[in-house]
Amino acid sequence: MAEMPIPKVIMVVDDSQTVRNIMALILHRLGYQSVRVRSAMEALTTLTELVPDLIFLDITLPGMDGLDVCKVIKENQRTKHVPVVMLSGSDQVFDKVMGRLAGAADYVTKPFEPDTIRQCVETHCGRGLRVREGLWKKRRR
Amino acid sequence: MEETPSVASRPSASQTSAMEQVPRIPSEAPSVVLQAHMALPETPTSAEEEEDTALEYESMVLLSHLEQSAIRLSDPMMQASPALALEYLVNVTNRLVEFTERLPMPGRQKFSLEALIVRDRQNYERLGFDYIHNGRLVFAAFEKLHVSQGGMRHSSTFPQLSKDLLRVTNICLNLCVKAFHTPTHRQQWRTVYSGFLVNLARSLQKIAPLPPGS
Repeated sequence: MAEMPIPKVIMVVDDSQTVRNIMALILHRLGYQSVRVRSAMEALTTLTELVPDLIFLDITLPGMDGLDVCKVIKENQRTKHVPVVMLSGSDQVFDKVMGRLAGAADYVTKPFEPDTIRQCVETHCGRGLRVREGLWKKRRR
Repeated sequence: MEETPSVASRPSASQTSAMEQVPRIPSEAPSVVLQAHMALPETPTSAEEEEDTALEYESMVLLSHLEQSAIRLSDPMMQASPALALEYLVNVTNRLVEFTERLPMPGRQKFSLEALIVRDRQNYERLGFDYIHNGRLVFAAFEKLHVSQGGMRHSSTFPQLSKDLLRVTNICLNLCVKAFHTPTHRQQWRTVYSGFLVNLARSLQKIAPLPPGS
């Protein structure tokens, strides 16, 4: 009997509940499992129990910021291979450069479109379980 | 730690215990929380499901934009600038009104801000036609009537106006939920929009606390 495929796990670190909820819906529709946390400390604690396939990490977090969290992730033997995508409300080159220096693989500017997230996820951890050709292709206008 | 609910397998038993089901409406939600609606009686067709998928995409884009404005409203710097906060809130409301006007709502009267105000007039403390032009709120009108030297003329004005604008926002978000055909979409988006609205209301309360009993 064929085994049930296991969805890839994507961690979303953002202090905005709405952003976490939107990301969860996007990832769920695409067939990924999302684990969502709201702070740097919560993220680092979770990473001691779970190594996700990809991490979306907000730059602006209360307390320790996303860039520092990214550095910690990249210095840890267990998690250094996990691609990190920085999320930011700013589109400034400086932030992107800082993200790269911290070890981030990519950068997504908020507000974002679901397709941007899809492309980013597929680039860094492959397609989800629920690949539906044409999903989100048809627009209302 | 939160997790999407209906995905089959989970990382480990120890993590499962710490995970929450996806977005629940906070129990301490203020009075502007979206109202619950009747469940849909019939099973949606595949065409309706496709419409929901398309609407969902648009809703995700909309909310992603609105949230960036809401985040700015929660900035401590904003708390000292009710006039600027009002401008952001007007923009958020207008964007939502524009989105609501375009919703596919067969069998319903086309949504318009003017019609909404007429129908619901007694529930607004300040909001009226003086602030509306061509179906949109005009910040210049608010500015002319209530703003002086970058601040509000009266401390009570911002709470009243923000409450009125939150009411409009609440009604628009309710219509956005109703525009979905499938109960699953409705439920998920009701929860997501409620979370957004609650956080927006909290940010506005910090800018100028609403008077007791409001």
